[in-house]
Amino acid sequence: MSEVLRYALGAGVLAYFVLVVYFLKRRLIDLKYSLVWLLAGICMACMVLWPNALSSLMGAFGITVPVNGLFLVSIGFVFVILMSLTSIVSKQTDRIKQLVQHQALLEQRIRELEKKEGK
Amino acid sequence: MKKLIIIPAYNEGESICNTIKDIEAHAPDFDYVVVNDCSTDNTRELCLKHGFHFIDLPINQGIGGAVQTGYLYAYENGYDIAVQVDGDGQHDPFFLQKMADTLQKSQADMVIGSRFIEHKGFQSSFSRRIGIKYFTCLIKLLTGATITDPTSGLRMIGRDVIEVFARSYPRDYPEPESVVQILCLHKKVQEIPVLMRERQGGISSIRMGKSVYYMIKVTLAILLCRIAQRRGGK
Repeated sequence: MSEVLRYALGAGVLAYFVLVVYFLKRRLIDLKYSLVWLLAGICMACMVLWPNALSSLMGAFGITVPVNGLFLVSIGFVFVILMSLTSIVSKQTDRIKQLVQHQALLEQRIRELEKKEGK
Repeated sequence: MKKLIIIPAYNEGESICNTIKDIEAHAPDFDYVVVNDCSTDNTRELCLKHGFHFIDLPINQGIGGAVQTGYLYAYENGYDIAVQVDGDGQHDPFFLQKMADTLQKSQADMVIGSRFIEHKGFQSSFSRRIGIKYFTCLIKLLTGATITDPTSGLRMIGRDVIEVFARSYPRDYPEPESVVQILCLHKKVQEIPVLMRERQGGISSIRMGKSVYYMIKVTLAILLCRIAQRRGGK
């Protein structure tokens, strides 16, 4: 990994952390959902800080250019993040369904009560 | 014994009045509730105008969500029996008492009105019959039970199953999956022959373009249901 690329990636990782912390501070994302983002950032930071460790690790897997390994890991994280988002969306959909059903049942009860009272 | 008819209705303005009239004439022992699934036609207005009992979903939930709302209503209001009757007029309320008698006499947990025992009345299109046969074979393979009409919406359940469905019910295309769900809980499912009519209005939720998605989704759901049950059983 060239020094220039290393510095550029380092700056990118720093910007990434600043963005995540900004979102967390402004409560734009829940801490619960940001854990996977933070973990991805820590992995990226390790790779930038210790590129030699990255090279030997990638070499062990037969990846000759470490940057390719970096991309591979990044894609892996994107998959994990997408899966966790799908899981969150599924849970939210179920909760919205429950909420809608209970609201509709309550509305029906109110309507029936109003009918009984002759409103 | 309290008995409830659940009528899921999405854009059934053309047929909903006749469906209710039919129910009042042929199934007077049953209470009914229309679940208006955020229809974009005049279904809601018709329900209000005629004073029908109805639940009005503010956001479209699909057939599964609408029927489950009916089961929640049945559960919360202490009904012993609940039966789904489609709002499009396909199901004849004349058979409901026969289904209730079967449910009680044979101690079944679910009674399905099947078109394919006596092969009388409206038999659906050829392509749909192939799909139905496929689900019959799949259910037979996975659970050992023979369900001749797993996609029939005309299904009656007892209090135990009302509780199960109030908690968990498949979201879309729920019929075959919910039968497997019940069979996996070792509940007894019985079928009786019924006559069905062609829909009196509205459009089916399963159109040609969606049928491939329907087959794949329901197959996966049935397989998952079976796997989950095996895991749970160990």
